[in-house]
Amino acid sequence: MKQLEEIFRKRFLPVYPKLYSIALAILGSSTDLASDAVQETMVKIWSKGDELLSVNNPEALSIAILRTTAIDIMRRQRKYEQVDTITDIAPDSPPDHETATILERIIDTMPPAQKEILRLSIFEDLSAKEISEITGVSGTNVRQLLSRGRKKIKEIYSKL
Amino acid sequence: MNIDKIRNLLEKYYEGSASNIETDILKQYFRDNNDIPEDLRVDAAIFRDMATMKEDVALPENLEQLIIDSTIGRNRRNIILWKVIPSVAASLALLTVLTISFISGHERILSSDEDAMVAQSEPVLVHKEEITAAPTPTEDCTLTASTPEPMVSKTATPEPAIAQAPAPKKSSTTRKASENNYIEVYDSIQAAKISSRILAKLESTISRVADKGIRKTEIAVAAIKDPVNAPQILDEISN
Repeated sequence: MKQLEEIFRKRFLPVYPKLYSIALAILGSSTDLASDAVQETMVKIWSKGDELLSVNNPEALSIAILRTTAIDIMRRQRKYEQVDTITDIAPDSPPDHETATILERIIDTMPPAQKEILRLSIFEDLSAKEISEITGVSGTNVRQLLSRGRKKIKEIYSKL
Repeated sequence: MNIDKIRNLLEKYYEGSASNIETDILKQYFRDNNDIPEDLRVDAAIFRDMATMKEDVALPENLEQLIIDSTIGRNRRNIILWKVIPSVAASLALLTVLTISFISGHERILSSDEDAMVAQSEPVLVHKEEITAAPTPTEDCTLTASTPEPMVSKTATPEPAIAQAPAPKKSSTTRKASENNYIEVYDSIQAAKISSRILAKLESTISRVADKGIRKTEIAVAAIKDPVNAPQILDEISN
């Protein structure tokens, strides 16, 4: 048990800040939901018990579990859409919260899949390939979503 | 930094095909340069806001503790609980037994105290006849010449021995028992008086019977010793 605790503390616990950023990206800046997702993910990881002793890439495993957990949370919130669905950027709509920056407000108006990918790109500085691995969306689709999102942001910023 | 290179990298960025290194070059350029060409002012604002947005992401202060509590901590709590529960259960069981013992012991002590305190009211079962009548004298010995028998004493019809004995008082401390032959006397003084009277009557009765018995025994012995005159001796008894 002590060995397991040590492994968990040294290899899995340090991943939680990154998990939190990803959770925020997936769940749309809801800090409570992101915290829940990270906590639930860590509990799932811990419940694997002795399996953790032979995990080679703790971060990859943690992110994979976080993703399914966050998606479950999203589904429970009835706000989630298919990740692979490529939709057009939502039309200009009023931002959800006044205190957020213009950029945040623009991203919040986007469809969930696009929002998630953009956030992963901004918060975690992830490449299209890495985002593809986390989200399960193909590399091509990730690049398309990134491109449309960034162009939409620039379009709105140009009008300001 | 060549501004044309920046424009090329920006093009790749908006196409979604810029690598991490290329994106980092753009971030660094917009962060470190104030003299931005007019056509790149919007891009500069976007990169500046992205940097701010990233900085705004603060980890909840208690998240790490929550994670530890719900993983390693919970496990420890469970272990502690499994170690503690049997001890607590044993202690409770012991406490319960001690409490019950104490309470019952206390009740017993109280009960003894009550016994002592209410000794006067403890009922004494007294046979009515013991109060109203004396024990009967035994049947007189009947001696015959041929078959002299030892004195036989058996209860016969009761004879009032303590005629003067007062009938038990019917007070609040006296009540009738279920059987009419007995009366429960709660007053210890009254019970002691009755007992002493009964003992006195028994003593006198036994004494009288003993005297008679001794006398009859002497006659019987005389008759046995003088069988010739035995009829006269026995007549003397009947007389």
